[in-house]
Amino acid sequence: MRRFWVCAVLVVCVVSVARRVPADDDSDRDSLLREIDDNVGRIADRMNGYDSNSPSYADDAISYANNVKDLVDKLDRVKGSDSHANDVVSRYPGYVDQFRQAAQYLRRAKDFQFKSKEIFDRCQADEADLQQFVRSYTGRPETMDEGLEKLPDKARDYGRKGNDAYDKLREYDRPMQDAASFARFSVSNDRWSDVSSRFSDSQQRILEFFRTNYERAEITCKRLALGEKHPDVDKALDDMRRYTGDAKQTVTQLKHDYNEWLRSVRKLREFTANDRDEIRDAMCKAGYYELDKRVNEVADRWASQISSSYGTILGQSDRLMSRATDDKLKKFKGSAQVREGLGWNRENLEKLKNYELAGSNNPKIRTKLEYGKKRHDEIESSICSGSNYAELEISSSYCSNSIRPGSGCRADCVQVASTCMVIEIKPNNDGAKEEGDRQRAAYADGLNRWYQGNKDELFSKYPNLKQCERDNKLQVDSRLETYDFCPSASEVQSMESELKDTSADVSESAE
Amino acid sequence: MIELGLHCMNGLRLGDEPSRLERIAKLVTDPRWHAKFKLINVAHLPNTPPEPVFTGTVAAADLPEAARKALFSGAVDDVQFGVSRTASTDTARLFVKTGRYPNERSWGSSRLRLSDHDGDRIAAPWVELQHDLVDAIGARHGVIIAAPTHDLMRIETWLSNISLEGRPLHPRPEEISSYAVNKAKLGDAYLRAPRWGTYLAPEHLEKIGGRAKVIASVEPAVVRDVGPLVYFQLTEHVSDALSPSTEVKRARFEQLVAALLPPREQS
Repeated sequence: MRRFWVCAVLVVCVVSVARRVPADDDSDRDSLLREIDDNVGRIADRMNGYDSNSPSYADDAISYANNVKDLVDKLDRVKGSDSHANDVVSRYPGYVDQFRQAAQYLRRAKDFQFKSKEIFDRCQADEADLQQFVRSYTGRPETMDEGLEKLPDKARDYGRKGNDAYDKLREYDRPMQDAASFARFSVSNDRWSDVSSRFSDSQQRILEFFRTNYERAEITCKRLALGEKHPDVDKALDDMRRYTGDAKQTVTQLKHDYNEWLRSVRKLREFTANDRDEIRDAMCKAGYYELDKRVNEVADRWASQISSSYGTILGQSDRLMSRATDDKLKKFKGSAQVREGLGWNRENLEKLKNYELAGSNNPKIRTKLEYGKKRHDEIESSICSGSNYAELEISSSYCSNSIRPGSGCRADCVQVASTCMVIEIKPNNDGAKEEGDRQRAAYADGLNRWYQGNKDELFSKYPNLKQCERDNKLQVDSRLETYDFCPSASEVQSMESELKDTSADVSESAE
Repeated sequence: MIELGLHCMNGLRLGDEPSRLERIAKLVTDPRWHAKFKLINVAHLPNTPPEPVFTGTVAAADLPEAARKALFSGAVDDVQFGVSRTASTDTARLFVKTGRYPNERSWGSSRLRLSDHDGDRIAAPWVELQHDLVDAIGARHGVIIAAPTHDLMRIETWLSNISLEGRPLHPRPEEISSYAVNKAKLGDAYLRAPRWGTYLAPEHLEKIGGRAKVIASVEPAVVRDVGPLVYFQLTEHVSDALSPSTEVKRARFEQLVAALLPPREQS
């Protein structure tokens, strides 16, 4: 009898467990699918703006990808006949493997991202030091012999530094290019589409940052690597060789030499006037994505031209000043005029160091470029609050970006009302508006295509867009929101040092 | 300064029409553009390999083949031909949406910047060229716009508004929005309001009382058949396109087609 009851209880238990299994599987499956989706979302978050975040974010993303793999293994055991679960089980392990591999390369590219900038900064600092030497030797007649002997050595030292830096730069280039070219991930299904577009966007930005600074470093380090053939050193050596000390110690000769010096100063100033127009041109015409690059190119060329004679001109001014304050000459009216002129113009030249010589590191240019980005963000937050969507990503299954191929479609803002308004924010210039036209059209089409292709997916990701649904159609409009960015001529002038006009020649008549 | 622009819509699915693609490719190098296209920008269909890609400028000798390659590629969603990246020398454009994406139709737009001194001389053959383009695309409707600014032309040809510091640049932004929202129905259930030049299909003409009624009410300077469409041009010369008397004619034409315009959206 006892045996009968034990058996009966067991049978009841087995039956009830057997009945409960499908229900448990359903709920386990749903919860696993949710967890998987959350983890893919976390991967996308970690890849968002990775170019400006910590390198370890890629490690986090890989670890979330590992979670996805574990969860998919568990899902495999309870997937039953659910088509979505089966789909996830069959496709996600491949996505995870692909992502892990690509993310490792992206992590490697990230390690190199700032290397070219470090080298650029180093070469630029060395360039400034070299100019200081040039000035100090050319500026004092008593040290000129020493200068003629030592400046070539110094220049060769800096040349070696420039060479080493340039070699190092090239050393970084190959692994960076390899890492960046292998760091590719493109899956357009489910939330992996977000991962793909953010991944590509970060990959492009990391590479772009490296390339931009690579080009800047290449120019600066190569000039330094010229050693004694560096244009400013060459000019200084020539100047010192020609300086015999036999210049007539007359005030007329002093005034003549001063006027000659003024001609070099005026030439230096001409560079800044030409480049000022080019900087304005770039700021007023370049597209949003090429703006920084084009402005930086001009600013760096600007710096390079000034560097080619800067130290020598300052050194010559020191020498002229010491002649003009010499006991024999200082009493003359002409000497006083020269001293005054030197003071006036040297103040200008010293100022170049703070802005023009800094090239693309010119703080005023940086401020203007930052202003553009800030303005974009300000407009975005002012028009895109509440139930609207800022930086709305459109699945790559329905949209491709012809302006930045591979970087996915991300609308600056989608305002939600009875019509969904896709808004692209751009500076008010033709290049940027051209980009904006292509983007807004692609994004509006992309939303319509997504709606037609899988509206459940669209609304599950962006539920507020339901408000724009009418007669089985998504009502989509688009707009370019532009802001004034093109600087006036006077604004560009303010990006240079506030330079006074070069003073006029002094009269060379005898006193 | 005046700009001329074409916007034609509800065309055929060009991916299925190789002979039309061939005609369009030939038109790309037509001398009536009064400009030589050197830039090609393509948008690829989602989930297709991003091929072909055209970087830099295309040499004149290579343009016919490049244009064919761009238009015939099954991965291409739309193609834009341009002259220059610099605004001052960017005098002409041609854009073709291929209609390859499922359930979409082709459409096209183009523009030409005219100089003040010989605008009429250049505009006449350009308009003839647009007729060929409209016919090659198989559009069911279209307009030729004359605009005093490049921004207005952008808005009219992309059907998308532009605001500067929050101010709309088009005088009737809600009209543009009404076209944008009903883009798929333009040339079918709806029409765009007439512009300097307007292409109408027989079924639309019938709904507004026929060709004779348009001629009587609007007094267009040019009326001619373009394939199955009828083209009405308000003045003979583009130099008169922006005059107040032309606007009076345009407003009368707009009244005639009022029942076929999409409902206005509040922007």
